[in-house]
Amino acid sequence: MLHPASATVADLHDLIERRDTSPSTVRLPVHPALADAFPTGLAAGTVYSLTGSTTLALALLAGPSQNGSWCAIVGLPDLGVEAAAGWGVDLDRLILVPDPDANQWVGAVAALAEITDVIVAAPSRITPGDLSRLAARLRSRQTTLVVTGPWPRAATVQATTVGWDGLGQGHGCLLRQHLRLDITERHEPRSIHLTLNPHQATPQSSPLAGSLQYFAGTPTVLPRPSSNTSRGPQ
Amino acid sequence: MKTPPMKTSSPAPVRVLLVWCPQWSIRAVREQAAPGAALLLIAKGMVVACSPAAAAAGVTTGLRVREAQLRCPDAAVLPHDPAVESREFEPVLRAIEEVVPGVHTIRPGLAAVRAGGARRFYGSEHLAAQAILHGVQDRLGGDLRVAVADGLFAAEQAAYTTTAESPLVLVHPGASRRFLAQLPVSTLEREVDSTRMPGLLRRMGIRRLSELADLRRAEVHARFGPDGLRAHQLASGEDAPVLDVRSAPKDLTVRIDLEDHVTQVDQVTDLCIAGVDRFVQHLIEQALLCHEIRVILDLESGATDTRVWRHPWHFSAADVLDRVRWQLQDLASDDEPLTHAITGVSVVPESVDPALHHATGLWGDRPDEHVVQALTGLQKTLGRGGVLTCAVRGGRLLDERRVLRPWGDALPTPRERRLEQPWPGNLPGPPPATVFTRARPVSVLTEIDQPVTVSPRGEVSGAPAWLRLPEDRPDTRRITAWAGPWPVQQRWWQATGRGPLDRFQLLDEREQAWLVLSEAGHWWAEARYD
Repeated sequence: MLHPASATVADLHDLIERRDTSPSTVRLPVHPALADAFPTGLAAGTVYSLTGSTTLALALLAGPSQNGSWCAIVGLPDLGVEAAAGWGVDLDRLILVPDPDANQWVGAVAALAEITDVIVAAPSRITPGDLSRLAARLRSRQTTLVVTGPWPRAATVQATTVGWDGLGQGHGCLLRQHLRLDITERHEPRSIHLTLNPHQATPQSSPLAGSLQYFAGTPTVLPRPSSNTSRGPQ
Repeated sequence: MKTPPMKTSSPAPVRVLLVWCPQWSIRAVREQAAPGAALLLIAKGMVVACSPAAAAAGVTTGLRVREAQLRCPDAAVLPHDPAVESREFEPVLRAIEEVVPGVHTIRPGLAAVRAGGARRFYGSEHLAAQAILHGVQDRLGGDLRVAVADGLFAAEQAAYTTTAESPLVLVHPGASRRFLAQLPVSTLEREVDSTRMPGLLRRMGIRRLSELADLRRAEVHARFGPDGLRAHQLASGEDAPVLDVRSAPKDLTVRIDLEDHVTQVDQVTDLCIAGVDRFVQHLIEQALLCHEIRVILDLESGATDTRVWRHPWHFSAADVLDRVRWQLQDLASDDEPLTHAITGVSVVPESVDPALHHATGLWGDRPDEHVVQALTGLQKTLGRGGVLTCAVRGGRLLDERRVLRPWGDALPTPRERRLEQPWPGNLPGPPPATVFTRARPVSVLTEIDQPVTVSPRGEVSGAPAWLRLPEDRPDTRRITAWAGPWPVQQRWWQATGRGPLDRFQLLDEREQAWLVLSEAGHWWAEARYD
């Protein structure tokens, strides 16, 4: 009597497992400067919606790139590749798709998902069907997509420049950028203050012979916003 | 059973037919100077060769340039270039090959062939030598000497005894030792590659080759080592040179003739498939890899469209076809048929390398096959410029520092990137994340809405207070901090180059940092720190 029922249950379990939409447990490494903002790294196979900082998007490529992964940047024709190299992104394993049409965008990202671990892409119009197909592709390939703009059903990273160090009235030069990151990942918001300052790399340690300067972050954690703290029992 | 013959220490001498063009160094550059004028060829400050006119004035080889010019003040002085000599010698080699195949170049001006085959063909060595002499002189003219002897050394020495009147000398088989006997030991200098030994022999009282040949070989070998053994063999007329036959590299060019004049891009590439496969097959047969090809399209109008394509690894048949298609697509405009029909396609390998040098290592330096396939597939849908690879190059302006190349094109080598050079005027601080491909026009205004100008001496007319971005929507922002001007001076020596630029860093009220350029009163946004 029980056999048909248990078989059905097992089938359903299988089905659920195959259609599992829960975020994967695989994490991608991040650059040490971003370790406080993403303490466990980036979730593989998910979408992040990042607004307010292209630099941060390039920095997110650095961790997987230094691990030997291929990375791709889609729809950012004015990208400063030197900044990417400055973060330690290996340009030999970086693919740029500068200007795809709106109808080629999904195809390009899906094709790049086959070979890369992280894709940074400017947002594009997308149909709900394509959206879910793309999400499924990313999940099955364990590729993380960082969209530099709003994106439905994505973890959000809102970067706000708080200030710059080093520039005066007619003297000095830009040295350090202070960023506040408001990150909402799996409905849990957190705020981080990051300082991106150029670390004078010695020519020997720099793969680009001292012509580029490297960043090293000195992050400081801000107190959580009150909306977050009010959740716990007090 | 037949036993193999005993190996003797000196194998039987090889009959060599040697062709000598006297004064080749001078003749090779003769056209660069007035006919009959005195000419000096110089290397490292020494005279390497001189024309007869200069020699008559007392110039000898090995003289310092200053001394030579003192003796012959009106001599033209040219640098000695072995490459030119070799190149100029090429027609002579070809002319000899017409008469007797298998030419071995000893050095420019001196070539040798095995006399055995030529003797059998022409009947005797003398007739063979005459055939070469006349064959080459009829084609090229000029002074030419031919010698036949046992071994290269004897033949070369025999050739030096000829004169313009009797340009042919024959040393009979076995007579080389007798012929060489009276020559001084200094003739060995070039052969044994040791300047000390001839001098030492002379000091020992051994002045002629016959005196050296009379010594016991084992003793000479013990005293002078391998050089001594070789010298003794040469002096005894036992020279068995290995003549490497000059082999002209095989022509790997593939030409595809299109008979019915085709105007569709796809049609042309389809017709090229077989030819391109043949091209790659030839390369594989020769165990070669090709990194650079030249694709030549012959148009019906008689014009040709030539383009060189470089590949980061090496070309496969599909890669070559892609290059042909891209070149055709560039020629056609946007899916239109070509304005001129294509009559032929040639694929010329520009640089090939033995495949042996490029065996894939365990951790090969080229990307995995599936990456290449995925990106090549993506490139087919997006177009050639749709998928790019990038690198950083030395330069002052940020857009110049960025190198973007279509996937499948080779990026500049580290040497070509010149990153380690100083580049004065380079940007300090962190590089901006957005570098505009086309600098965007902006306005930078002072507090009283006057445009900020920079004088040639680098003085700013007023502190920048407003930044106006006239792009999609007019937007005026207050400038809260700024620095500059930082002069960027490049290619001012070129008339077509840009004028001097001045760079400013601006920070606006929204904490947005900008890099702007000022050029003769115009302002451009070069990059944005975002």
